[in-house]
This record gives sequence, C-alpha cells and structure tokens, in this order.
Amino acid sequence: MNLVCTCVRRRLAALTASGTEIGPASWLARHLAACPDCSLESRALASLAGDLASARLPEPDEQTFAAAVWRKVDALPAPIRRAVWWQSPGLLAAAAGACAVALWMAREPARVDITEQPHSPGSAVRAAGLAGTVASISPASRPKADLVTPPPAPPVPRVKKPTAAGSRTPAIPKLRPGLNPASARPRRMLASAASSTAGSTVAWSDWGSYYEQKGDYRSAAYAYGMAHSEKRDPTTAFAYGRASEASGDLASAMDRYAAVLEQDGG
Amino acid sequence: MHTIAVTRPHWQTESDDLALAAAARDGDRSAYAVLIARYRGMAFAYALSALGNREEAEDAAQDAFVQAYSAMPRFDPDRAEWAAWFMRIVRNRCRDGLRRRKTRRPAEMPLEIVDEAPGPEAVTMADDRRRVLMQAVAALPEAQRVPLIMHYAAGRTRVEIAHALGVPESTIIGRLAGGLKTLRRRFGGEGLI
Repeated sequence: MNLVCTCVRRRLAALTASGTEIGPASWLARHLAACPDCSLESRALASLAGDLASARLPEPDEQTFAAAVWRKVDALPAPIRRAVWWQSPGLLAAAAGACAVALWMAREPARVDITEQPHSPGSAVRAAGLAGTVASISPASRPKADLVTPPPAPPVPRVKKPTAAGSRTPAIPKLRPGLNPASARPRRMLASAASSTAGSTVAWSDWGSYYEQKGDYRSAAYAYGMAHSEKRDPTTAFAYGRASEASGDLASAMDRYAAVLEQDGG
Repeated sequence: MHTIAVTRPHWQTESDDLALAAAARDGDRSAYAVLIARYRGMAFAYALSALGNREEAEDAAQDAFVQAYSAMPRFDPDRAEWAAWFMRIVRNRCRDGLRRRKTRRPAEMPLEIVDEAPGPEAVTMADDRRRVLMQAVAALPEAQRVPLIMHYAAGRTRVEIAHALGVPESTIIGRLAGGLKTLRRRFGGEGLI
C-alpha cells in the first residue's frame, strides 16, 4: 500500500457516507480501477452501507402513539400559578423594611480622624493645597484603624503671647477635675470651663484643637466656632469646617470650606 | 402538461411548524396532532438509536411530546425553530433514560433486516447477519451509532439528522464515515462484509 492508497482509503469512508458518486474520469476512479486492494475496500464499504440500509427501524403505530401522548397530556396536573412576591403583603412589607434600614444605614455619617491635621495656626491652612486637603480628609480615603486609634498624648493648651500692654504672663488654664471633655453636654461644659478661666487669655482655637485631639468633634466645632466669631480668619474657618465635618454636621462644614475657598475668611 | 409533485423537506416546513405551534399554544389540539404526526418518526428513530429498546424509546418519544406540549407557552420562535427545540427535549429525555440505567450502551439494536426474496437459506443467513451486525452497531459509540441508524435504517437525510442533533451536516458525514470505518475494521477479517 503506497501513499496514494492511504489517501484513497481515508476518503472512501467519507465518500460512502456522503453518498458522493465517484466520476469515472476522476483520479480516484482510475486508482480504484488499477488497485485491487482499494477496490476491495470500496466494495466492502458499499456493501456495509447496503447491509445497514437493509435494516429497518420498527415504527410505532400512529394512532396508538398519538393516543398515548394525549392520555399522558390529560393526566398532567393543572398548572400551579406561582405567587409573585410583590403581590404578597408580608413580603412587600419585608422589602419596604429592608429598604428603610438600608437608607438609614446609608445616611449615618462616618467618623473621620483628623488628628493628623496641623494644629498650629501657622501651618493649619495651606491656602494653595486647600482643595486637596479637603479631599484628603474624606471618610473613604481614611484607613479604618485611624478611627479608633486615640491621639498619642493629650496636648497642653497653648497660651497667647503676652501683648505689649500685658503686665504679667497668664497662667495655663487647666480643666476642672472630674470634667471629661469627651462626655456629653459639651457646650455647657465648655461654657463652665470658659467661665472658670475668665480673664485668662486661652484662645478658643486652642480649646478646639484640644477637643479635636480628644476626639470630641462637637466640642471642637463649638470652640472653633467661638474662635471664628471672635476672629475671622481662614485658619479658624478651616478648622471650624474640619471639626464640623468630623462631627457629622456636613452642611456647616461645607459652608466653612466654601468660605475658605472664597478667601474671605468666612 | 406535466405536474411535478414536490415533496418539501422537513426543514422547509418550519413556517408551518411555527403556525402549528402557535395554534397548539392557544389550545388547538388538532394542530399539535399534526406536529405529532410530523415528528413522531424522527423522535422515535433518535430515541431507539440512543436507547436501543423499543418500549423505552416509545416512552421517551411520547414523554418528549407531552413535555413539549406543557412547555409550549415558553417556546420562543425568535430564539429557535420548533423542530430544533423539540429535538432538544427528545435528546434530554433520552439522556435521562440512559442515566437511570446502569448500562448506557444497548446490547443489541432492535432493527429488522429486510430481504428482497427470502428463502429458507436466506432467512438463516439474514438471522446470522442480523445478529452480528446489530451487536456491532450497538457496540459503536453513541455519536456514531445514532447518525448511522437514523441515516441507513430510518432513512433520514443527513440534513435532517444534523437538524435533529443540532450539529452541522459535515459533522454528521464525519460521524457516519467514522462508524463505517469502525464496522469495517471490526468485520475486516471475518468475511461478513
């Protein structure tokens, strides 16, 4: 068997299967006429196909078959109508409740750690990068671990430099014992603290910085607000907005930031 | 004047099938009876060649018609032709039947050998040939066995088989050729062919 025989035998089965007639003038017909082995193979395949074609599939009786189908169709149970979920009052109420919970959770403000922000009046506001600073303290850009990490050490409230007319160095005010800055009622506590240090020169901005480091942002916002009402400058306005944002008062924070960006100091 | 009778192949009756299926979906049983008569042979041929048992094949074909009738509201004519959709149901029913059995391959195909002029000797020879040939056909893999039986024994065209199996016609030709070659190898030295 040479190479031509190999090619011919590869094609014979496909030719038989496809029912293609081999033309008498084709090279395949000439080879089959000349090669007894390939000719025998061709006849064997044709005979095999003929034997298979002589077999007949038994056909089912048409009437019996159709009758059996209709009998089975009639025996089918009635279709069960499935209830749609929005037509069920219980499921509808559950879905409404889930939506309400999701909305409530979405509106809860996230706490933002702003302890890394500069506290000194000179370095607090970088006017050129103010917009970037505002973006950097957004809740999504903060690692969660920062939210629970307390500031490393309590600060000492700074004292204003003595004025030229000042005759003595003011004492550093101390918080009254028993007063926890992070406790409730920050405004009343602040007012009492301020009254206890009446006459001293402790700035409201220092109180704001202190409470900011303590994590009591409501008190910090209040203190910065007082400082801002005394002296309107961009530094205090920015700190006011920062503390307001951290305490969840976003509307006030946006007002402060807008005022800073307008460079009018609020 | 000569009248030429044109027998339309089944794939050209698809528009009729769609109309019949739409009527059957609306509850017209006579329309579905036409579909049963049209596809009964094809469904049974496939089921018998796949399962190798006449009773099981009849059951599978009937169950496929029942399932298609109950699922008719879900039939989307934009996505598939009715014949292709129905034959997919038949294939799945046969696959379920094979899965329930322990042996997936039939022992012998229940085919009938038809001889033109049967005498006593011819009948004896036919019996021998029948037994050996049917055992050999049953031993073929399903991919080759089904097209071989549907084409040669059931008389279905290659296009019809391709339509029923959901494969191209060239694939059917390849499977037919593969089946013939396998049978030829098996009986090459035994003098059957």
